[in-house]
Amino acid sequence: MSSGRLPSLRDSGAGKPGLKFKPKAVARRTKEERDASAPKVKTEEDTSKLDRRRPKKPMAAGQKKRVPRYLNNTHVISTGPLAAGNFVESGKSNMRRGIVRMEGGDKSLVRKGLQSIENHTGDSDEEYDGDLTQKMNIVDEGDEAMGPGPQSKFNMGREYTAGNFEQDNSDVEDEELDMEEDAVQRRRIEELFPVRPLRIRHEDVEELEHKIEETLTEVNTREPTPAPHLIKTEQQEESLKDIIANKEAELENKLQKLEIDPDSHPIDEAEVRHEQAMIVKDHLSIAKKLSKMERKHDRFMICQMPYKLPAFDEVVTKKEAAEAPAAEAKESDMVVDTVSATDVDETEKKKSTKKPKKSAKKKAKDHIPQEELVGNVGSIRIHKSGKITMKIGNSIFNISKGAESTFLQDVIALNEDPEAPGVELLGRVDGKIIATPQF
Amino acid sequence: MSSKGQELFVREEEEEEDVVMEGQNAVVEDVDMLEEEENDQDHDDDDDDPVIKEIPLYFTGKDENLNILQYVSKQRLVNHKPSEHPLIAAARYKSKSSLWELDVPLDSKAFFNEHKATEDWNGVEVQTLKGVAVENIGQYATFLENEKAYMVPVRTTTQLKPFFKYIDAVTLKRKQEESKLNPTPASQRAQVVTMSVKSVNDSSQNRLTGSLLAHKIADEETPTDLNWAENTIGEFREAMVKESTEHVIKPAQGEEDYLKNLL
Repeated sequence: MSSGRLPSLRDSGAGKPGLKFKPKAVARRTKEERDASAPKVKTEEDTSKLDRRRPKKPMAAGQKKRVPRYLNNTHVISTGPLAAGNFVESGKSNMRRGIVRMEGGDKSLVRKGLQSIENHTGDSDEEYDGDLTQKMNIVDEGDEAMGPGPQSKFNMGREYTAGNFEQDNSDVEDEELDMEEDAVQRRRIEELFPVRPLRIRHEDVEELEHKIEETLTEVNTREPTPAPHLIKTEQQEESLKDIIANKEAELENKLQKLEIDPDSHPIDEAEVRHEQAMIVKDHLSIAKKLSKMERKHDRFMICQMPYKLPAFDEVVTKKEAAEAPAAEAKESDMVVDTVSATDVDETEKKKSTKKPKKSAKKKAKDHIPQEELVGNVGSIRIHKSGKITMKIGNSIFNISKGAESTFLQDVIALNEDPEAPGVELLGRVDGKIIATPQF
Repeated sequence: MSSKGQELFVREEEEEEDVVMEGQNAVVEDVDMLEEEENDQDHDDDDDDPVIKEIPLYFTGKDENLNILQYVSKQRLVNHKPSEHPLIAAARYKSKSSLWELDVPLDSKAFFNEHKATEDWNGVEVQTLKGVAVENIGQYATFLENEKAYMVPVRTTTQLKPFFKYIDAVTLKRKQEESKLNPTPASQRAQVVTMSVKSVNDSSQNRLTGSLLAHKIADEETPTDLNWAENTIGEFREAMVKESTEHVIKPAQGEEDYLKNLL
């Protein structure tokens, strides 16, 4: 009975002590064998060093031990910056499980370029030391590049994150070209891979949410809103109405000042203010560019003028002017002298020039043709508020900023003289301003 | 923002305010006079926003032939720094069709397959940039010298785009070779040629019009080889400044006259 009833139980009980598969006794390898596999051991040491350097991420390590089946026994070996892609190599299982490996020598152009992109300077002091760790850093960018990690990493997300996206305008440009060979090579790479993808970092989003939470003064509760609060809000509403009324009046004043087209129907004060701020910003940037142009001789600003300019008449003939330049050359020192000299002549000149002016009114042809206009026509004026206007003749022009170009623009002088035809490269275009007559 | 602006520009003292007011139509004889009158104007229209800095503006370079070349395939800024200017190996210009051609040496050091270049593309060494100059009015190239702004009119703007001459040459050659080696059945077959005679008039003579004609003219025109000179900006600026001081001009129109004229 007992033997026949539960044979399985007995069987299992008997099976427990014995192992189905006995492990092989692993014999210690001979010294020769160990020496033969030495290189392998060495690389593993290197990578373990690396592991010490950066904080371990248990999650990541756990995930990486599993390689998808379809990737078993595959090796995707690629070069170039795109190799720093999706597949991430775990530190320890370097030799066996490596999926993506950066090939190419230590002096790879790509690496240098990428480093300088990261460093934002182009002449980073950090020399590439050929260490495997740096390679690994580049490979591992998908893993931890988002953090403020070491400089040598190529951080795909950093160039145009949500925060600094606006900074990416032309005003940043201010460095001299340095012509060292290294730098040249780096620049070449930067030129070849100029586009950085826009990434919205999850930290940013979290930060934003956090800020929003901070700004919320009252914690959400399930209880009904207490009565005293209601009274308060009513009071606030009254004062709010006053405030709104005041602000509307202010807005109207501002609108009048700004001479904004009443048909433009601004939505609210915020929009107008934003618009105003943008204009001020543009003007500041123009002013900055103007001051920069003073220093940099090969920069031109393109100015778009109306197709017709105010008319001008020639006052001094060339012979008379021959003396004037001499005086004007020393202008800065001699201002007082010239002023006094001109004061003396003032009355005489007035008499002499009033006549041609009258005749000029009758005949428009007497004016200097626009394309032959040479001489002082007015000035660019910077106002106390930062606003910039231009005055040409008796007319005032508003200055606004033109669209920036992303591509290179040269100003050249063409000489079509058949004997010695040539082009002179004068400089490059840096910014554009538009002058519109003020009505 | 405005306070920031003040910090930026408060280098110069504000202009004196004791200048006697003058009528808008007052005649201006001299540069100094001009400036004085400007001060008056400022008080006229900007009482609450006075001018704190003035940069005298000169027009100059009426005989200069300034052009703008736009390198569409070249970045202006690389990593927030001005990009390097491409080397120009040769420049050609066809004045009749205002066609620019620039040769830029290819960068054979990075991502360049020399083998392929020699095997497939007849050892291509330069990239040709090509573009047609378009005239424009009202564009002025402005530069600053000694706190004075100078404006030189820009005659044309040219958008330079890569033009793959070497590919065209190779494909043409290949086509010709193919047609020689194995003539197509179509060419062997006898063809019926129908001819019709129309009355001779002008329209039949000008068969090509519009862009085809322009292409033909451009193709037939021999380009002028131009010397590409750099670092002449210093001389240019000097010449421009000198020219601008040789003439003294005065406005001949009041503001209202100008605006009327403009509209």
